[in-house]
Amino acid sequence: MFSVLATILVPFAVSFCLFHSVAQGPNLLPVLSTFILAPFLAALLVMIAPEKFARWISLGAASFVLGLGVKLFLCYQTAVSGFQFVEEIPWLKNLGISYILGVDGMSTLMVLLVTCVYFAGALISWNISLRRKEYFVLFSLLVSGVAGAYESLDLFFFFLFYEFAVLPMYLLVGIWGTGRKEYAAMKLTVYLLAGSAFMLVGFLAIYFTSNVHTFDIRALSDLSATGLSVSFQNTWFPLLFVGFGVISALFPFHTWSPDGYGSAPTAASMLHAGVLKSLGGYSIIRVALPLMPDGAKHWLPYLAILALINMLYAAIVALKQTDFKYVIAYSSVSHCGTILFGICTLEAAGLNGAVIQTFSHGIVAAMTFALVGTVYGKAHTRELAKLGGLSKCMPVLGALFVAAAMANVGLPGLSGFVGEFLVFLGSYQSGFRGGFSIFQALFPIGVLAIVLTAIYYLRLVQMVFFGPVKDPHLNEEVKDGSFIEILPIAFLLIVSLLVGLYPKPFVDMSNLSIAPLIDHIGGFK
Amino acid sequence: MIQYSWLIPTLPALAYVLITIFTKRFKNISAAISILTMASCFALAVGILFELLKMDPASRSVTFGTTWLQIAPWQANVGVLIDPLSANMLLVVTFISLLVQIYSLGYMHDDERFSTYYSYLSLFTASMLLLVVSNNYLQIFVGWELVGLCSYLLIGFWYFKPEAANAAKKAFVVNRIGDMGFLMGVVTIGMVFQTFDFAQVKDLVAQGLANHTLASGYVAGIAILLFCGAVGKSAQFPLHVWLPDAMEGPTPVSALIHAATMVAAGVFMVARTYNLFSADPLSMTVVAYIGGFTAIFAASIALAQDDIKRILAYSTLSQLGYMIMSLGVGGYTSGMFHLTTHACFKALLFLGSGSVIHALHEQDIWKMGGLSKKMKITTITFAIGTLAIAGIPPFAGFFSKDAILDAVKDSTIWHHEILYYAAVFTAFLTAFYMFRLFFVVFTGEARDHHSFDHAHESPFTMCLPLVLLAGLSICVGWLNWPGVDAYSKFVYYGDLHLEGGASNFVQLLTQSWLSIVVAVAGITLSAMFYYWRIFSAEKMAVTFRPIYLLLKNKYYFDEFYGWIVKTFLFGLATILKWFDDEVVDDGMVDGSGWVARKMGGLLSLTQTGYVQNYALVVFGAVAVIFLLVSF
Repeated sequence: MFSVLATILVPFAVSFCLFHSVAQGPNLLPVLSTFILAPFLAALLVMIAPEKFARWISLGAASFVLGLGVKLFLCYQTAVSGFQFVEEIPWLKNLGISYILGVDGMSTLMVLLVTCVYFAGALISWNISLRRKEYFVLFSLLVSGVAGAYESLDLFFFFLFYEFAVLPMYLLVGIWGTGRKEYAAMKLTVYLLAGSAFMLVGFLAIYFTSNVHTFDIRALSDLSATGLSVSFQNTWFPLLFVGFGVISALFPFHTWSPDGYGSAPTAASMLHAGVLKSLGGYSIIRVALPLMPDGAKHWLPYLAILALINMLYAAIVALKQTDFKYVIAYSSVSHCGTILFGICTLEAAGLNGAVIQTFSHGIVAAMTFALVGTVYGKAHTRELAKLGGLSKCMPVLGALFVAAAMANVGLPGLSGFVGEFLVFLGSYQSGFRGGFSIFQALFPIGVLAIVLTAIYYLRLVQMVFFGPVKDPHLNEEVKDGSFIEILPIAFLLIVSLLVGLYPKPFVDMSNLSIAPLIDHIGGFK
Repeated sequence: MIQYSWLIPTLPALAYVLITIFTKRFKNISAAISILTMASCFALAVGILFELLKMDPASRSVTFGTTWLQIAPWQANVGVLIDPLSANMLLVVTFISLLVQIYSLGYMHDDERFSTYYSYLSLFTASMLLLVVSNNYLQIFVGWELVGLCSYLLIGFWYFKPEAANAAKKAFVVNRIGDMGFLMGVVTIGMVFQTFDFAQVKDLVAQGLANHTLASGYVAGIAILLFCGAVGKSAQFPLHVWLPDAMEGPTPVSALIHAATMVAAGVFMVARTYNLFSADPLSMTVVAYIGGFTAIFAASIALAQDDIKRILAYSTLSQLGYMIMSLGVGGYTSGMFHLTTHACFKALLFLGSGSVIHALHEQDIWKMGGLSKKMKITTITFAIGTLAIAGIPPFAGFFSKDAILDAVKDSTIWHHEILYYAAVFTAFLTAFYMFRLFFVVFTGEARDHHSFDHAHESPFTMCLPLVLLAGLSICVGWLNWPGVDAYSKFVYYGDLHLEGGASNFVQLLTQSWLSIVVAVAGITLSAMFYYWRIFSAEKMAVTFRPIYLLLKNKYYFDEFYGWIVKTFLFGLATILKWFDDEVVDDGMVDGSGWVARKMGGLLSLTQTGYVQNYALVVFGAVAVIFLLVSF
């Protein structure tokens, strides 16, 4: 236990002390590249080191990156705003491709999210026994790719990092998964690649049509320079939205999600639901909205309906699931619907809500999947019909699951409420401004989600943890979570509580990106 | 003292954290932390009350806070608003919670999750206090939801009992349905007024109504949305179904829920946002009629129940209906006064029933009887509580209930005479069923001798709260002794106007002869059935069997809602799951996969593996290109 704590605290302290704000002069290492390189180097190190060191190296790297993430959040200069810690290396000059990293308020939050989930995931994978070395290599590579995608300000590198993250996911599901894992791995990968194909076509169309001839998002966001016509935007915006939407499990392209999560190993589900899935909504805000504001204004009211279907449809389907993990998977789809709905409001409150909900969903989904994985490891079944009364033998895990369920339900005091509330506020405001009355008409429908979510989560809690014990040998031999199992879940719960109890710093951070974006787009008029 | 008021919700919340993290294993320390923090909260509340009393009546309102989140143009605060209304609630909540926690020392003594129980109690009270001191709509919603969570945890405290698990889920979900309306109301307020602050919204509404930029119907709409939340939390018809089931929790928790920390929240919220409700007669009428209907509806159900706690639960529903109705007809002071007196005698009745259950391990009143011989203190205090709820002067319930009846009689609301007679009849029913309970449980002969022989008076920690509450159930009403009217001069809405107008006690008695007559009639009739046994209740039940069954089964509301959920919600879920599995997944997804495979299959025909075939293709292609280029 003490060696674990040391492995966590020492790298955390090192990275926390090593880096400092831009205002205090240049850093020893390029900060943002370190987020990509540290997991990458950890993967290389695990490859050459003996197998018994694999988990220690990964945990050390994760703690190091977590320290860096926290530091980044604290060091981001809110007074200056805009992109900070920018690193720019020209790569293919005549094609306009450069390696550009930079973070603004929104991506700072996302990077923090990645580091939190990476850390929790490394801990939850502690007792992986099958091909431990390969597992941790792929796991770290995945993080490396996701971190790169969140930091990239160049469409080409954004795409590259995204693909870089998807492939390890395929192997993680296919090798360490459960159930129909090959089918699930295939389905998930094909979907995500299909989504990225939409993205790629969209990126190329923008690249060839715009006048600036570059992949630099900052340059492309200047509409007067790019000269993208309204008709071009109207044609290509939905394509890009759907491409990004597939990543966020937009209806009807969501079925990879339950199957994929159902089969994926715990840490892979956590990372996927927590950070990779969030990339969809994030990219819409980062790329689709600033590059094609007119297309957004034209299409978002209609796309809002898809997002609403996501929210409600997934919640209702979750009611009839018979597998513990599938319920969580559908819940994740439903929450992503909330994120997309928030974006569709095109209001400061709604978009901030979407960003906070992205962060919250990342933390909470990771926590819930960690719990499901831990419980499955002890009960050896995920069939709801066979589970019951587990709080008797695992009271701590039971209590944590109730907390996780409440975070999903959007209980105030936990992070979920802040995002949902802002999304609802934004959606009503959007209708009120008279841009498109459909929001006002649909608003009450969106709020139904808070009742449906409560119903299926409490039903789940009741079926799994409450009531009498159904399976007699789930009584004595089964132990409650150990320190190493509880630690990552408690950590994520604390993060969720921080956001829920005092959301101001997080919302302020997100608003640093959203407020200028709203000015840039102008909202529905 | 008021500057420390933020400590009131904070201290019990800290107690929760401390117990959860550090003192789970040490029962006595956990209980000590919880009780001491609650005692200090009570002391603070008393201090705040005295400080308010010292201030000028017109300026008895202090508020301060800090930013919780900010997105232009909104600024959501977390803050404190201390005025007579919140001071009143703070006293009620901290006092009842303190007594319940002391009582639980005895009642929960043998429970293995004793510390957890105390941590939940602390959190429950903290949430309620957060709601009470709130100075804005968002914070009141936050406290509101947290109260819902704690009720879920406490009702389901014995989670291994399937009934408890079900009841907890039901309480949370039914409350959530109401909360959905509440949330919509809060968001609408944010949208229309661009602020959540009570004071600012109040000013904006007054301005808007004065210069006709805001339609009063619009305000009524918002008020009705907010009222949905109150219907859920205060268990008004049609969202009343969760409260009787909430009996599955430990009995002290029921006392807490029914008296102080949960169902009072709805009434308090309506009082707190009264300026929205009073803006338009429509919202007032809705509130008054829902309250009035719940009062008589729940009282009728209580006539035919057999479980001691369920009878009390339906009496709570009915009394809450009184309070809501009072607010709806404009009786702001009488509604809040009834909330205060009701908190005392309902806590007393529940803790008394807990004492009985503790002694007999039995909740069916037909297995009790003759307990007055064994449990003196419980019997006397319970009798006081029963007299108070029946509205017999000079017990507390008489003063507040009579004030409500007066308010209904004098109101200008649509057909207020219907409400008035319903309220009077409810008073009759209340006296009847409460004395039915009392006579069956405490008088006559023991029905189950085995448990009767083991019955004993409860320990000191349980009797002390009973005695204190019994004292209050007599005296609290005297705050509004005619001519003194201390309460009415403290808690009121708008300008001070003393309701009723009786200047001395005798005058009050003569003015309210009707309510006294119906209460005495109810008690007499009840005694004829259950004490002297002149009439037989069994024969009545047989003669009027359909009515008896209807009441006994609570008008079949549980079955009806169950059917709706099962048919519509789960029916829809079944259809959509089929759609998801068969159409979206198999049809579209695997269908496109099938197309891709077939395409691959066609193309794979060209992959023969024979070099000569490939050579032929290469040759052919070269030939075609050659031809194209040449011509």
